[in-house]
Amino acid sequence: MAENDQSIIRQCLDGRPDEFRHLIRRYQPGILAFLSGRLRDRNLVDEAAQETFVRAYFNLSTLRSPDKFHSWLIGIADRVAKEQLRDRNKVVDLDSFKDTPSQDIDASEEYKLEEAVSLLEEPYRQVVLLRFYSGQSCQQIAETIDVPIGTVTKQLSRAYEKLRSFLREKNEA
Amino acid sequence: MDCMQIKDKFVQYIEGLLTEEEKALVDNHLVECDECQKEFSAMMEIQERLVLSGRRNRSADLEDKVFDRIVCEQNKRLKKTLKPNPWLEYWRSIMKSRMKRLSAATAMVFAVIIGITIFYKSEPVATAQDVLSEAVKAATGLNLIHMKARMRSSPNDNFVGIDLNLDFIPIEMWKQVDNGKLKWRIEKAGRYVVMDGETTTLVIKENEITTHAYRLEVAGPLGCCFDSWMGRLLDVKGILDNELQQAKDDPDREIRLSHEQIDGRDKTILEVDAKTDIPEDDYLRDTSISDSDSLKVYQFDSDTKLLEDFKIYVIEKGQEILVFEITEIEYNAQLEESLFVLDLPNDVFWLGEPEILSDNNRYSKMTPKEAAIILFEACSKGDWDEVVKFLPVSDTDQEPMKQEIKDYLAGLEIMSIGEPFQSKGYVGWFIPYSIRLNCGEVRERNLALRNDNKAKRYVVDGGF
Repeated sequence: MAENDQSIIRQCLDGRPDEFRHLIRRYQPGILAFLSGRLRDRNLVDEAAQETFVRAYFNLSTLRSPDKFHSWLIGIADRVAKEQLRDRNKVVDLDSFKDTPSQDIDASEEYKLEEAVSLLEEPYRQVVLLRFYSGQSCQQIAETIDVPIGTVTKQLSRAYEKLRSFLREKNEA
Repeated sequence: MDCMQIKDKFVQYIEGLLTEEEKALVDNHLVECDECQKEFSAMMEIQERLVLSGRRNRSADLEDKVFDRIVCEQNKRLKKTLKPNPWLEYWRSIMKSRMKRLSAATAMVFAVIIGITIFYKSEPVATAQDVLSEAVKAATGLNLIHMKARMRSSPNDNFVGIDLNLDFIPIEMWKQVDNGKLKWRIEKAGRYVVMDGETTTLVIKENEITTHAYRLEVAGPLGCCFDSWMGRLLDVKGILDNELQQAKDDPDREIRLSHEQIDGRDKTILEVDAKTDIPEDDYLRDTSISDSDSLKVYQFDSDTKLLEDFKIYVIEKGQEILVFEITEIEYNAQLEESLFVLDLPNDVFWLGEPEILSDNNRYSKMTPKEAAIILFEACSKGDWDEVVKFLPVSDTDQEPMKQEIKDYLAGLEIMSIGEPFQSKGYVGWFIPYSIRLNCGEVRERNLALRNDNKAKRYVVDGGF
């Protein structure tokens, strides 16, 4: 079985920074999807994902509950995305003197699902990210977030409903 | 198994978590039931799209790029720590000259004297996290709390709503924990919530003749049932603990710490900024604390460490506007038991989770705009059996409204129903409408409808 987050974080803090690669591998698809939903711009997403992991690495020692690494990481990604959007809007304002969105924003179909996932509230977003982007089974998710497996399947079911309703409304709009 | 039970098994079915027997049950049901088959296909479609998205969102070189940046950043930090110390260089230059050595010795004597004086006058240096930790300890086990507050809000609005253009209205809250049993009450002019230890009831005084009530058969914890964030204030330890955790988990979170002398006592002040996700042009922007950029100011007594004052300012166009403040906190207060006992009028109208109707399909298929049109048309025709299907009630046999209200609504003329719109901070839809009532009054508002109920019907959530 894969090593758990707590153990990897402990090793990083014990002076084995290379262990952090395991955490990047484990969570990068979820972080990329989350940031794609927020930023909808591939160039910004890559930059924001790097920044998220770098910040996480240098702040590992401040993480109080290593078992909550994933939600902590999403929190960092969320802040990085907001900063990127704020910076981009500043550039747009200076360039065009108009409050129009950047030309780079890709509002096409491509990011609709990711947008829906990024807008899911917790705990639904977490189970979706862990299941489909980190490739964990329902049993592994139950162990990661310390809830019964029945809770995980219920939350997934509810998350599907919410995603469907979001996508349906987006298509109607 | 009925359709609901079968649908509950879909995820386990897809994930291969069912026994052969259960799987066969679902398979057989899907062959017979078109509705469930449709639901199942829709769920499979979402699941497949997520699988594809999971594969698409990968980056071959992210790991290396992150590590390059980590190494680069670490080198920068290392250089900083290895930089020659300018004070050390200066010290060496002093020690080379006898005159300089003498002057330095005199300066050091003065520095020590001044330093000792300052040391005796100064407070020990505490961080914001230390202050919060102490305050959490002080708030532990506070079982009886009575708070008075004021808030810029409409008396009839829910406990979350703020309105920067309105004046303050008073709010009062009580909490009691007796032998581990929690009871609480929160009240403002137009509504109150009582949790009596067994059930949680919201009572809305809609107007002089109508009282609505909504009861949950659970002992609602603070901040979850009708009371939203406001109830959490009664859980003083909880809110401070949450602030402390956020400070620890979020390295970028800025908390300003200062001291003030009030009535001869030292007070510790913490200021915390909070940004909202809600865009500036969103309909719900600045209509609640969480939908606004805000500044929270906590004040603690520096000796007792107890929370004494709490203010929230909304930041709008660079201005700080006070929207909420606790005006009085009484810890270990003597509370009357009657505070937690409901006293309702006989003709109270009970709201509740909408039931699945015998002709539910007709309503669950409506768009928000269709639902708004049919609701107003039903009012116009005086078809109250139809109107009640758009109200959040579980018992549709109840008389939906009093004769005075029926008279007020009957015969209304729909002037316009606009295009529905949404807000990032709300699960339902807003439908702009304009109606002329029989009495000649014209009402222009946004009707709030939501369908996140088990019947999947759009029901009124506000603006009616």
